[in-house]
Amino acid sequence: MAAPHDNDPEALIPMLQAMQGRHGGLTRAALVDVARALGIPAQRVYGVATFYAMFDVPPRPGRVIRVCDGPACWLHGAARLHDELADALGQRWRIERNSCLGLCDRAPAALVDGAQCGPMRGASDVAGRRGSCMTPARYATPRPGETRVLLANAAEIDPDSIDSALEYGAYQGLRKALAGPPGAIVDEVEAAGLTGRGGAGFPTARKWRMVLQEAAAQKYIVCNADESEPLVFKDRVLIDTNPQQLLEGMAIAAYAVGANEGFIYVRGEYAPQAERLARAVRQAEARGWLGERIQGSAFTFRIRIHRGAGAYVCGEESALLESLEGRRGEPRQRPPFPTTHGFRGWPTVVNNVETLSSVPAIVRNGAGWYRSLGSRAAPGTKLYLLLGHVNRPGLFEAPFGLSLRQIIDELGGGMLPGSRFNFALTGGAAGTLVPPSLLDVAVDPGSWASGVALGAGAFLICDRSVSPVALLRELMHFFESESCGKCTACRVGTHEARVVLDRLVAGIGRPGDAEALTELADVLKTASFCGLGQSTAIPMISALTHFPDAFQGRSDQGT
Amino acid sequence: MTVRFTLNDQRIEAEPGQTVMNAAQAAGIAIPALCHDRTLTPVGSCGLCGVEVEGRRGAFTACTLPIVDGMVVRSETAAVLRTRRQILALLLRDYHDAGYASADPETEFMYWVRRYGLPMPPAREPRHAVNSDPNPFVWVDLNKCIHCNRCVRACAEVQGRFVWGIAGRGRDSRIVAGADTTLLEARCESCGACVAYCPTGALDDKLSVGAGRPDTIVTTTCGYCGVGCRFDLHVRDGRILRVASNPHAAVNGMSLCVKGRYGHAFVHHPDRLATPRVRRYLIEGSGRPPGRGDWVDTDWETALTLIAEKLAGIRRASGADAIGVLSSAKCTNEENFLAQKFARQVIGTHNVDHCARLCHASTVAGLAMAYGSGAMSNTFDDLCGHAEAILIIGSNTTEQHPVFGARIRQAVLKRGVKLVVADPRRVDIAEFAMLHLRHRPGTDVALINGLMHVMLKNGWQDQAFIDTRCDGFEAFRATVEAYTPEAVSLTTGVSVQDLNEAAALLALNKPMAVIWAMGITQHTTGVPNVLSLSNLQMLLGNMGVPGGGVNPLRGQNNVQGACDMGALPNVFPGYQHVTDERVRAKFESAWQLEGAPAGVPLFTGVPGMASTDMVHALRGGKLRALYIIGEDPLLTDPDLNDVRACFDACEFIVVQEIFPSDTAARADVLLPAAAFFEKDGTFTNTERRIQRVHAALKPIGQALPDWEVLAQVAKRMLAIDGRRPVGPHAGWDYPAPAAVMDEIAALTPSYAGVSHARLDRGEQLFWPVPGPDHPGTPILHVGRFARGKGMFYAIDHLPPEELPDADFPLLLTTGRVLYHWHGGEMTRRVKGLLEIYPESLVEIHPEDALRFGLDGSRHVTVTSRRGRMRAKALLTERVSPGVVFANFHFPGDQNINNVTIFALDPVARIPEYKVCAVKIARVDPA
Repeated sequence: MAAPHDNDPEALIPMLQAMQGRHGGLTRAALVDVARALGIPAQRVYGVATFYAMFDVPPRPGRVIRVCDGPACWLHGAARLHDELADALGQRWRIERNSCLGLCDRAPAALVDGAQCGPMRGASDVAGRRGSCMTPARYATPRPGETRVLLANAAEIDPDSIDSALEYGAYQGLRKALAGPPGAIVDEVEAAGLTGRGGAGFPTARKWRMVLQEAAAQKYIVCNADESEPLVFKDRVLIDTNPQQLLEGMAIAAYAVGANEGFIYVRGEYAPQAERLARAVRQAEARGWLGERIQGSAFTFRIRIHRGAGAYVCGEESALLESLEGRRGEPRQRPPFPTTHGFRGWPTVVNNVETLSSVPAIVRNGAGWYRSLGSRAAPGTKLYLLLGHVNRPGLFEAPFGLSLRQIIDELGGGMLPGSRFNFALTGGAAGTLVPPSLLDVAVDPGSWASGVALGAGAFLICDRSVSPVALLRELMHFFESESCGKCTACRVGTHEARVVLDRLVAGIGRPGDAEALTELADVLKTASFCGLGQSTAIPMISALTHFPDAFQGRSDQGT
Repeated sequence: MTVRFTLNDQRIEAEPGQTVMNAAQAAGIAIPALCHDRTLTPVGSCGLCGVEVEGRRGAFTACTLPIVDGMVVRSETAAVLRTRRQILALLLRDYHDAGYASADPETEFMYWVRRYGLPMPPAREPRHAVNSDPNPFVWVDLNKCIHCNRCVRACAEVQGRFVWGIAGRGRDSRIVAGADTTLLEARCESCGACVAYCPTGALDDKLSVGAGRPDTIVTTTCGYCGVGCRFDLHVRDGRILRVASNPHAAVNGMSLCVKGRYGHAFVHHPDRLATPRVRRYLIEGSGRPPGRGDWVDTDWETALTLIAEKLAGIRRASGADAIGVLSSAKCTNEENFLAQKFARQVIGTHNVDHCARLCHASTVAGLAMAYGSGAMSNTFDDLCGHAEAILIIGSNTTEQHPVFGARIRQAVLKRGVKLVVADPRRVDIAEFAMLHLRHRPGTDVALINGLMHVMLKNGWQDQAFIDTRCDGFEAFRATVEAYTPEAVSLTTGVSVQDLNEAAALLALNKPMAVIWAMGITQHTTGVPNVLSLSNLQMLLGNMGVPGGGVNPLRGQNNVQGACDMGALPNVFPGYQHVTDERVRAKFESAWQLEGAPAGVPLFTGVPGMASTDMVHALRGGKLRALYIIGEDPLLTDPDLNDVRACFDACEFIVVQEIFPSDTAARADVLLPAAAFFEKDGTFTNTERRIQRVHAALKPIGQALPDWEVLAQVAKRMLAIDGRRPVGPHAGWDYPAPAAVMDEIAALTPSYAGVSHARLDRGEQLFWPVPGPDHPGTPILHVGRFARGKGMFYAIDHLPPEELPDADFPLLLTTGRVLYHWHGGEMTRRVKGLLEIYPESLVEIHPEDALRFGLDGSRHVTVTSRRGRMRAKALLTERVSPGVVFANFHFPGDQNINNVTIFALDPVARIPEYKVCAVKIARVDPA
């Protein structure tokens, strides 16, 4: 088992994935054998195997349906779906809940034997793997108001054919980049004002320049495709519509900073997307756009696809690097930052899929063109994920600075008939609960200060049938399940908050519960080790601020 | 260069890169922490040490916050204190205390809970079983675990064992041993480091859980091996409650080994000798019956008088040299000094020796020949901090010097020291080696010559060092010429490639330190083996430099000191030779007696007998009496069937002991001695570091410290002969061991500056300490060798005395294991140690097992031309095919010394425990 991986402990997770696939799980004895073969302590192998949700220790028999536990699916009756499947199929299948599957545009969704299915209406949809398709044709036509860069030609390009992508200009950005010095690329991206699209909005060129300036024997580009934040599925769509665009973006980044090796860390639940990327890499290598001496230049760049194994925390860049090195996905102490001490301790650029996918067009068309697309403060376009009680949910691409009202009314086709806006969750699970009073705030990377987070670009629109307390309970349940357990605040704090919210949702709240939540939000924000832990306080604080009455005692409104 | 920062309005200077936590601790400002310990990698996970930094938003964990010049930090603001209380409250939510340890000392966690005034939350259901691991020493109660992970880091970073890990995720995460198994199955060495670091009692000392708080805490030095760990003894009502790490221990810090931390129960064992005993025939004045007859309990006066009269009689009748004294490497320096003073001054013989004869006699002799001084040249701190490469040859370091073994693991893990291990067995430390050379037992000279051949051929020698500081190089070079890798490979079984690679690793990574133990010394070629290693270190210029040197690891707690004190037949204290007239004159006048026949010197200029020779001198009556202090030759000498016969022939044997040992069973007078927990004095560890021993307990029953017994016997013998002390140091009225140390200092140049007062002030003294103001000498041979120039010796390989043949087809090599100590008198009386290692095991390679019809771990006999033992077979690839390994920890027919050979190195008189020929046979249950 270890031999194909050169007995390299870094390959522990792929090895365990292969074993899990072959034997339906991992026995302790098998884990001890792996440890011996790799020459690492048994506890390390066991610790990794029990950290990731997709490993079964010990093995459990039977095929599995993982019903999505995310907020969009929750709104669309995932709990009912789970119970129905368990009743109807429980004899033959293991029916389990899974943290958000990133199939929010197909809610309620499930992984049936690994296949991404949805919307699932019931047990009868299992056999046919309903909705199990990888080309979201629904994004072929832009909706009114969209500006498409990332999704340009989304309908025309065959995502599984590099030739098709080349017809639409793939790798022309890289060709242009290779003609100049690496520093020029960084300058161009800086001039374009590209910022990180994963949620934090850090200037991309600044990160690149730090790595470029490091005098190191090795440098790496790591693409963060661990899209595990509930309500966020944009990276999946980008991979499913134009994987070569991402590979090209990585190659340009690598050239710009002086890296020769790159990794795409794809979340474990995105198995079909990982396969698609692997195919795209093979094709690009065959055409000479990746690999040794690209297009006859002196530049060599290889990309390896790494599949995660089920852990939201691995979206945190330092946890991702730990995971990529074959360990538990626990965040690292920062500083030092990945730009100086990243993968294997070498300077590393970690960028989100959307960020890297934005790069080819910038290089091809120039910074001026890119800046012309958005506002001065936030140039370029952004993918928006619109979900909930609107007429046209789904994904679209538009410049920054739309207000929530515009998003709902103009791009979302308005609230569902009979629905009245109650609040929106914006940004993602670790986003803000937005009351009607903030509907006209222009949303951009800076608008969190006004109470409306852009985050990764998710917008869950809730009508009066949804209680903010109930939604918050779902979010805390997610954070609790996904806490890595390293720091006190997140490990215990998310659990304690969920217990209080359970009470409130069940209508058996106690005096002081709101104060307890305020206290917990405070310690989560102040004392969590990593950004993910700190961000769990954001929805709590906004809900407590804008909907104080909902936390007083009984709370029986909503789903 | 320093950086300055402000902490709570106090200006503090710090090292660049230092964390706020460490600088605060150094400045005496306490910032609470649970996951942090200054000796572990900071992780910043508990969140308790959060502080505010002016100009930055949020809180920062002080344990991970590097100081920036001019930084302004506050650790006691209202917001910070509030967060701390919140964190403690969260930790308490998941903490479940069943109350069984409420009388025990307060844990760190409870200290902070109390300090911050938090109420205990209502108890929840416990989530885990209490006492969930069967390890006899480590108590596990995960209900008290607060996920600080100190145990995980302690096991990895301090002990280098990686037993503890974290499994699961989030609130369900927990510490696990290995792949969620028992500690012992997960290769736990039961060192208890995890316990020492645990802030909550989730991991605790199983023997001490619920034992309550101590009355007194006494810091003393461990009495097991020569590493010289120090620890705190928690004592109440005359019993040891717990051995706790003392973070200020100079040698070991928080580390201890399983024996040091958990092997103390023997001191309270019912087998302890508590009353003087004499044989009935001595009381009745009748003839000595076969087997010496019954024991009679008696009082000290009777026993001491009897001894004095009997020894005085033999001395008068047959001369002083008819009496021999075996001193003990377990006793203090002060006691060893008195033992040889007793032999030399009171009896008048140089027949004094101790068990160094059986372990490092060849080291002492060989290094004295080559360099002029026979001790470890560098220190642990120096080796671990400065060596770039280390050669461990013939030392099972992690089992025999466990805490030093752990420090070597640390050096490999943290500093990337290049480690080469040469050992016929795959000893545990070989796991950490870049290269393990498995040479055949008894081929050390060939191996080392082979390595030096390669080095010379490549021109890797330090010619400047050789030219300026050494003699004898050309003859040496000519000899090594013949040891080509090809020839050496045939002799040793090590491949040519490995020889070349090892030579390069050792020669090209400087400085390189050599470490050895019994695998080098216990051969008929013990001295040549040592000389080969001294050649190697001169060749590479690794002497007298930090991170290099020759580093023989001494076995017993005070075997270095026992040698230093002159419990050897050829030297007075401080290696002052008995053949040197001026030395004799000095001791004559210091110890001068009045009433002795005028003109007859106290002692001759002829060295006395080595212990291995004394035993055989018993048979012919050349030696009529033996005075044995704490040694057990009837368990530890080779070829015991012969040794027993020799002892049976001996007329009068006195034994001072703590237990009824095999040797005690052949004594005529048996005196109850104090154990080291009950003693005051000093031990000198293998590094030449002199450390204090403090009594934590009163001696059991009527037992007395060995020094008091010796003084009593001495005074009585002098009185019988009408001799009176007149020399300045001739008397025997010592008020306390400190006074003995003053006499040692007066007569021993290398200890001249040593006093209990200096040691009690915390001074770390490595001898030589030539004066009261001298700071000691951590590294020997700097600039010049003790003998002037270092001497190369031309050494050729010689085969061992007895090699396998058709009748005895297997090669037996012997040694010890982690869980027992030497003859096992102490460790076999510690329940938990016996639980882990209950009986004698013989390591046999699976191929040999097949050959001799062993299907699994059955009982076997191991037979040589001299005798037979019986043990359980342990089938393992730790030994090579054709080699078996056994230990001498168990008495009677389980003892491998029934089988070993009495063959001595001609110079050092050390026996060849490491090689003889045996056969094995399966024992079928009757």
